[in-house]
Amino acid sequence: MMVLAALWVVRPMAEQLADPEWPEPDEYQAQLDAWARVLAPLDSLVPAGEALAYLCAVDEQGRLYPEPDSRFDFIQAVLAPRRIGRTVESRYVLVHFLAREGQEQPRFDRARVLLELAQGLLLVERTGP
Amino acid sequence: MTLAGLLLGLGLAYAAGGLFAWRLWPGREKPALLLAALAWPAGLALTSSAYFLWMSISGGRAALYPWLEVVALAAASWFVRGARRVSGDRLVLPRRPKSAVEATALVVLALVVACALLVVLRYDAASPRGYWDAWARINLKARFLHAGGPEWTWIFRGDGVPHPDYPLLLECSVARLAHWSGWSGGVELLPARVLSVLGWLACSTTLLALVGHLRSPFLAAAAGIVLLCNRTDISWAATQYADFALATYFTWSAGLLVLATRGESSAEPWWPLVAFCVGSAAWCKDEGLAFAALVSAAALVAWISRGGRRWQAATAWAAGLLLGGGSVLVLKLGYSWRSSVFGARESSIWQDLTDPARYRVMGDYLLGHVRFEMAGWTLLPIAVALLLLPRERELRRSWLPCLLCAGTGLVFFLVMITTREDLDWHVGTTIERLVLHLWPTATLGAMVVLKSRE
Repeated sequence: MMVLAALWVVRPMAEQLADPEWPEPDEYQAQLDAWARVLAPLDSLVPAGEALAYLCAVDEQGRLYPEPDSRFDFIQAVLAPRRIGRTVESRYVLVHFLAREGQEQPRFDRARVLLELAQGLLLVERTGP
Repeated sequence: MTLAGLLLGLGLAYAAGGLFAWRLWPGREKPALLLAALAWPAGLALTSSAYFLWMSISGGRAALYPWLEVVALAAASWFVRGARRVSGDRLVLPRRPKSAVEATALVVLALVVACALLVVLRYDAASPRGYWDAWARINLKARFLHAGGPEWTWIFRGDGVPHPDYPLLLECSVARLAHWSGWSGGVELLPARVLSVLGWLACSTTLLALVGHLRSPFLAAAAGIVLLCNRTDISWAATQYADFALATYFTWSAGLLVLATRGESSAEPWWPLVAFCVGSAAWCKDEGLAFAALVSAAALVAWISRGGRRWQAATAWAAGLLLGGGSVLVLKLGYSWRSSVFGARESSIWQDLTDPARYRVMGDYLLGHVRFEMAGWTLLPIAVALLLLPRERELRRSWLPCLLCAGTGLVFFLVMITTREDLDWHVGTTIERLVLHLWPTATLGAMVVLKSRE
């Protein structure tokens, strides 16, 4: 009886193990790897231990665009233990906006763009208050 | 990253738990198998609490922690060794299988566990960063706890840090093990992966050791197979979540309660150890806090109704709770008091409790999902066995794990019904995990009350 029960448990496991495609990676693994590549230059551009301010674009009503905003979890997970947040005070700012084809990059009066990390993602250094 | 450092960190946590279990286990004869199984969860709770307390006291001097741990462990082993000489405590090895049937059952179990371990390792290899809560919350906080410095408290106040009030057993364990292994923040998070797989192994070992000790090796093997019938559980083993650690503390709490109450002698010497496991559950996850509140309330009612030495029992209980989850109080009250349970609501708790639509959502999900993958078919024979094959009346306290399981399940159910978050989302993301939390305890309960021909 016990051998039969064990076989019943083991059989589906053996079938899974025999399938080289199983299991499919969690859907976010590739995204995290991609974000790690995109954000890698930050380590050399921003001093270690320096916090990062995060600025995400808002629409006409002042609401955050869901698309860039939903990526904040990934950015934060990759950059930890560097502090990053919307209320963080820092001269380094990660600017995240909706990248549409033909749309110009935002312009900054008191800041200079250090690097375009990806389309719609800029690292900016404040040059004034 | 050094493998030797990683193994040393694991070994020291195990040794700390082993010493603690040895010291607190009542009686002169200490069952070797149970102590060996208890050593890992106890060590995890102790070292993670110590890490957190050190971070709080030292202002984030995380790099000094490993040295502190070595000194503390050396002092503890010297103390326990001295006490052992005086008391004459001794280890009792598990008995050998009495029959060919028992031996065969154990061999079959070993094969099934080995197969399940391969499955778990394949899950782990496919998703080395763990699932959402692991990389977005647990390992995120672990990185701050590992880095230390004055900014480690960012995990309680960072504007994007999720669940700032959550208990930190796993987070501190990952950070602690990262120190031992010399991890420097690379892409691969081996400490978290190792702890995740060990959490599953510890939970399985706990169930096997308890059923083997309370009943027989044959029923232990049966319990192991019943546990592994739940294929959804196995799929969670490599997620790097704290659910298996929590299930382990639930199972230990239930098993120790049976050990404490089954004989004629006083249960009081067991209270610190039982409360330690209950407190560790509270230090592990929010669900563990609910469990600790439930069990402590039940213990309080029992002591008050019986009278006698209630203050001694309550003191022993409180000491155990503090040892297991004392840091939670510092965490919750000292750093963050943001609650995801109590807060602004769209409707009152009473309205939610009396809304049939919410029960329908829960019922539909349970009926739709608790099938083969979630061990649905095994629930039926277990329920029938519990109804038809109760053990002798004098062993009625063996029902404690089942009662504990039912009580905790009811609390979880009511928390879900009254959740202020979206019920559909909450049910979809939580019920599988709640089944996982209670499945080992339910299996223990069934095995303990089953009548057998031993």
